[in-house]
Amino acid sequence: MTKDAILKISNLTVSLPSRAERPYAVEDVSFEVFPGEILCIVGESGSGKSMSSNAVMGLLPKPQVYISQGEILFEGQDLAQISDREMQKIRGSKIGMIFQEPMTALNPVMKVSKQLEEVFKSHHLKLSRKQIKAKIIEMLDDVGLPDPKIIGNSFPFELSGGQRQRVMIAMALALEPTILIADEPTTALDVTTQAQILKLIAALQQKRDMGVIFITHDFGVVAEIADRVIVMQFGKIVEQGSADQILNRPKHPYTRKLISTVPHLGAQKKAPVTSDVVVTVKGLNKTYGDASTGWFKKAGRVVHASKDVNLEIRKGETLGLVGESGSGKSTVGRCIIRLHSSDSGEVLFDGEDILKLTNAQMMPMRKQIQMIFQDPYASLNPRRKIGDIITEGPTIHGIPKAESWKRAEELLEIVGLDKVALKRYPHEFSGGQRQRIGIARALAMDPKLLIADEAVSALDVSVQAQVLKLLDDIKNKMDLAMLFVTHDLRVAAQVCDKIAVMKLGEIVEYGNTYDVFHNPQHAYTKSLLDAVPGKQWKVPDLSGV
Amino acid sequence: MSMQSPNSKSEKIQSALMAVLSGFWYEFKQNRGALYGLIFVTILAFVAIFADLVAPFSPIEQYRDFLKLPPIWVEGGNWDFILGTDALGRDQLSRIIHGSRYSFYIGFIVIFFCLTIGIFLGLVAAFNKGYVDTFIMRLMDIILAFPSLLMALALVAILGPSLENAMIAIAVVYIPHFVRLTRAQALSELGKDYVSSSKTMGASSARLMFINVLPNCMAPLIVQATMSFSSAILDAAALGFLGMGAQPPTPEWGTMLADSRQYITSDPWLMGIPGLFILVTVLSINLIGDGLRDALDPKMKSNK
Repeated sequence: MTKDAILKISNLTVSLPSRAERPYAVEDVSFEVFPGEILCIVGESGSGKSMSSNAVMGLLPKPQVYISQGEILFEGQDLAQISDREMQKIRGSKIGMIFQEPMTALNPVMKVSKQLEEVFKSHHLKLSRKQIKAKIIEMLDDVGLPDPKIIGNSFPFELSGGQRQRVMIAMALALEPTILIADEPTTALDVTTQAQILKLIAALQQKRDMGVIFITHDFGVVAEIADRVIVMQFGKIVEQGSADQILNRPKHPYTRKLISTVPHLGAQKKAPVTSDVVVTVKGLNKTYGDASTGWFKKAGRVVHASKDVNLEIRKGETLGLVGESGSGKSTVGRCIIRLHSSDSGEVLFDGEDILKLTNAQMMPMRKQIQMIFQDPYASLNPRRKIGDIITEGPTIHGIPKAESWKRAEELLEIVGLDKVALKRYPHEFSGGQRQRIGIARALAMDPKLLIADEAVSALDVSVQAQVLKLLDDIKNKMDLAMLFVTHDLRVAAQVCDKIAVMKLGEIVEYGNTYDVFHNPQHAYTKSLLDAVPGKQWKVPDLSGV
Repeated sequence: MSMQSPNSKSEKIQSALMAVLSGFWYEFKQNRGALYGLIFVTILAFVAIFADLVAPFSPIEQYRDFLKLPPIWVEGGNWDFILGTDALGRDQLSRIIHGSRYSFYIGFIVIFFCLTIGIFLGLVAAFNKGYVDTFIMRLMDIILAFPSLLMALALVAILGPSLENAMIAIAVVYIPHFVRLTRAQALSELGKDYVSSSKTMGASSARLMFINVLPNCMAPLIVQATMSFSSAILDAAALGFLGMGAQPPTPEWGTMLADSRQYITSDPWLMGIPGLFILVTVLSINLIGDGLRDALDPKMKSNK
């Protein structure tokens, strides 16, 4: 690091409007970015990590949120002071940025090549039409897109998530900026795509000797690409240092806490569960879409979301259903609980095929199978009190209000919330608390099988660890069978007894967690494991220190 | 907690309600136009309720000595008849005051029918995708395909001209808007996991519709209801003007306009005053609707 810093931020403070929960989004933050390095800013949601990069780009939602103090030195200019117009010139040409959601960051009604052209035009470069065209092809080629001509002629919706993110990167790098700011660029992508994009960013950064500010919440990603790391909490930098230092010898208690909650990738060898089988799935098929045509409808595309799926879960056992988006893992969970109808197959629950039951016959079965949902914000009815939400199920099944209310109080205690919560509305709780409420709601029915559909994916890593622990405790205490649907292999390795890997509606590998992780048989499982970010990094054991 | 006396429980609910209302009031107040609209409509509502006490004369009594008396600010005005008299010598002010009753009556009845029928059909359509949905929505499309006033006129022509039939006709014309809005809202709510969760508990369709989904659809419906309230008044006045609504001597504002149509050049205030009241009332209610939308719809709030 002998070169001079290209970006120097000192004592940056960003103020929030007076009604916000804290006065500053970013408080007294100072750091530098050097050419040719990747600086990772890590933190949980609300830590101010995105706000600091938005301040650099002049993208703060003014006038409510503004820079109240400090300077951002870039090429001798203080970006905190310059006008919007001057900022416009720097944005894109000298500092590039890529965002989390590639679908919304691209204009959906504009062809890719047109959008790239815009970049050149908006910065008034004196290039001929031909030069621009050649440049666009070169750029698309640079970011590893096959057939740049065809891609350039497509609309964003015709591209996959990974391709879109590549286009975004091409756009951000079009004018060869000296700094690239990447705000959670891989969070919305599947693991295998994420691995490719991370590789691409690292390669481009080396080739062009750029400084990269990479914002993420994922320590695996940090381990994969960071040179230096900044850890933020409540708008302040709590620790910064080299990647090796932060990842393996963290000093600040908050960093230590964060790293200790990262699930280990290596699965522990567990004794196989031999208790009674609770649910058996045999030859489950489910297709979406309809190829037939009718008077008013055209033929649709048929997608096999579940193709001849066979599963078995025992009492006290957790089966992990892992796969990338579109693999049909959620569909299988929803078919078992009959939220979706299935085309064919059997789901034997205590020996009875519940797919054949009528709605009335299904009623007593409903109590036995319960689900925990992914998005803690959409899974609780915003207009009902927590007490009503938790007691809804028992009420439907004819349990007197007083009794179910009392049970709800006990359940809240089990999931670690105070019973006054019963009289509040969902919006008064944080994501983690809401997920606990969701768990209490599922438990109110005394189920035998719990289906957790990406139950911890939307949570911050430290909250995630708590909820995972809670789920595990509950499973052991109540001797539940659990189907754990997830895309996160680290989480799966931590909690599951058995793993089923799904790809395009089919189970390609099914076995004990330890075997699947240490001796994968199917090529797809291998590629999934290979793509987990930061797999070389052995999470240090910080317990008991 | 289950042992709680019903009294303290209802008190708690009341205090929670107060908190919600005060937050809502704060948002509503931010919109000045809505506040003025609310003040005007409140006064008008008061006048309508106590019309018998407030109005100086009977709305249908004819004072033959004072025909077409101008309002007091015009030369020849008389302080006994502040807004003048019409061609038959009836006191304009009293007729306006009594007419406001009809406007509110029309608004409330139309909205009541639109909300109940519209919400019911909308929810049924949203919950029964397939033939039922297609049938309901195409029927609504057919109603929407006619110009609304023409449709109302045709309906009144079939039912016979009277204020009640005019209200039925207007309600029929407005129902499709409510059905569409309810259906669209319900469909987006149905995709959310809290509904899935209720389904996994075995909740019945009625429970899902009315306890889980409907409360989450209400905000835009309330706004739509307010906006339709004013349109209903306007359409009823139009029907009255065309002789298809309230029949003379009912002091309905639209009918008043129609009665004095022939004097538009000689005595313009005869049409001007009821016209002005229709305008200001409709405007006020629309402003309230805007304010309600700002206060109830968080998406509109964010960019302020």
